[in-house]
Amino acid sequence: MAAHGVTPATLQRPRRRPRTFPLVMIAPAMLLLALFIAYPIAESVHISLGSWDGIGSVAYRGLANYRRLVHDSLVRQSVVTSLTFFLGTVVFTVAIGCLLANAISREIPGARIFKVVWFLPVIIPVSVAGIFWSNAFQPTTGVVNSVLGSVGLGDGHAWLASSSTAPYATIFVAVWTQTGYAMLILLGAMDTIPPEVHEAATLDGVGAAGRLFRITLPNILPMLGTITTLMSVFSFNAFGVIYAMTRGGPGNSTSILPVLVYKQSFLDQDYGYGSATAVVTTLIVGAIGILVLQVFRQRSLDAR
Amino acid sequence: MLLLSLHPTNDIYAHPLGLDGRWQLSNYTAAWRGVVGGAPLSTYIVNSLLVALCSLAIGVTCGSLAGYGLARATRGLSNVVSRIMVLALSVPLVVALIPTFELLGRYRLLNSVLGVSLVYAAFMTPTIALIMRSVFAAVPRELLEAAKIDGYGEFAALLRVVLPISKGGFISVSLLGLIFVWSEVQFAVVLLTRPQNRTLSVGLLSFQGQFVSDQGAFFAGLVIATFPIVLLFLFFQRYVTSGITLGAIK
Repeated sequence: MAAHGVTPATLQRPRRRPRTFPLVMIAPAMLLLALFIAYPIAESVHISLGSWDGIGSVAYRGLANYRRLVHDSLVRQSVVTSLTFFLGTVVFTVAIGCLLANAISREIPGARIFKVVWFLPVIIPVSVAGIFWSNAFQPTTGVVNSVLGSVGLGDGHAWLASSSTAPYATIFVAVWTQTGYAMLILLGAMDTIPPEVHEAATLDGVGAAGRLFRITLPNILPMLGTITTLMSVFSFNAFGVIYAMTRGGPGNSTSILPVLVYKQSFLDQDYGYGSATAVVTTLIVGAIGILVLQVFRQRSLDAR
Repeated sequence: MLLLSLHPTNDIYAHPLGLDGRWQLSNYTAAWRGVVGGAPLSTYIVNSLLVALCSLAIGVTCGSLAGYGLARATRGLSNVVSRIMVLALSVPLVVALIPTFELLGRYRLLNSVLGVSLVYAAFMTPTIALIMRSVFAAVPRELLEAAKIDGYGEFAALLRVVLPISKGGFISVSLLGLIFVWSEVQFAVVLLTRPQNRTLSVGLLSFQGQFVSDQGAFFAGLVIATFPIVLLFLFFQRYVTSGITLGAIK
């Protein structure tokens, strides 16, 4: 230390540093977020208030895009599709994830292998999952139909060609790709419950289902809230799954809002209108997020 | 049961092919060399690797610096910035799509590795920052005090003392970032329009039509696209799972 020449000035410095140092550390990240997240959101609102064809500047047109949006049946259909997709994926992802986690939470033999295997679909590139499954859903060559055919449920279903079954097929694949994630996070929460609690309940004659509902679930409630919120956001980012499987079709039947925005902007070159849809999407996601948090906060308080 | 049986990738892909004996090599070379939607599969893989490297370099640097800042900041500052990070995480990607296209177009960064990497880096930064905050918070304060007594400044202490013992955290966030980049479709479709610039996830999308008649090569291509990332995961799975758990607990 002496080599560095300790003067009163350098002794003063550490006291000042802790304040500015964290700010300096945080600054680059904030800059990146400002440039590629905050600015784009503001700019989306700006573009949505006018018309823009991809070149030149935005011509201000007030709320025209939003007025058009309210009366657009494609948009309405897309909102319904998105909400169905959101509900389907979130409910099944969280429920199945929870059951899987519960099944391996108390270090049963082979738990680690199950954990890895169930998590694998999260790792597989979304395009690969989408392409693989759309292939599996094909009428004559697909794996799904040959399995159904072999148990006598018929093998001629054209899952992705019909607008009544295609949405469910996409929900299935989205659930398949995300469940491992939910499982892992819930498993982390379940492992914090002291094993003695479960042992005591078992001694009192509480069965596995009783333990799940009366011990495990109340204890992981905050984490259930977190994972539900996360999965809700994921469900509105599931562009890749849908695009790889159906491109939003047949018709508009699997076009969740992000896919519709893509079509409006990059296929129809109507960026103003696309932006308006994107802004509305964000508002819907925000509303759902607040709703989910509210529901789980209420439940957590009740549980206490 | 169906779910479980479908999980091991190689099994799913091998099944419909397992019937004839000489499928292996010819399918793989066909898929590797085959021009898919304007460029060979190998080009897409190289592009994905470049984008992954570039976005991880930017994202992990900015994210972990921020994570360290958060771990060392006062409670108030740390809370405010963490809230911003969580908020940024919940923004649907689609709202940034059109303006990002406009922004990168203005600076001639469409169809470039740097452009798309900057966007990916921005979207992975909040996750990385929040995970690394937990990792850095676990570093004992005494170590920092000791470093200070040894005459290290804040930055030197970070480089020489904190970074080496947080290696696991870096592996975790790098893998999570890699998984995100390797899979991302939405931005890639919009920002990389020329076939020779496309990443694997977008390049693969033109795969379906291409190999209709050649199911063997089709599946071989999917395996090639999946193999590297799954292998990495199996090798480092502990880091991936611990990273995700850390990020969620906060």
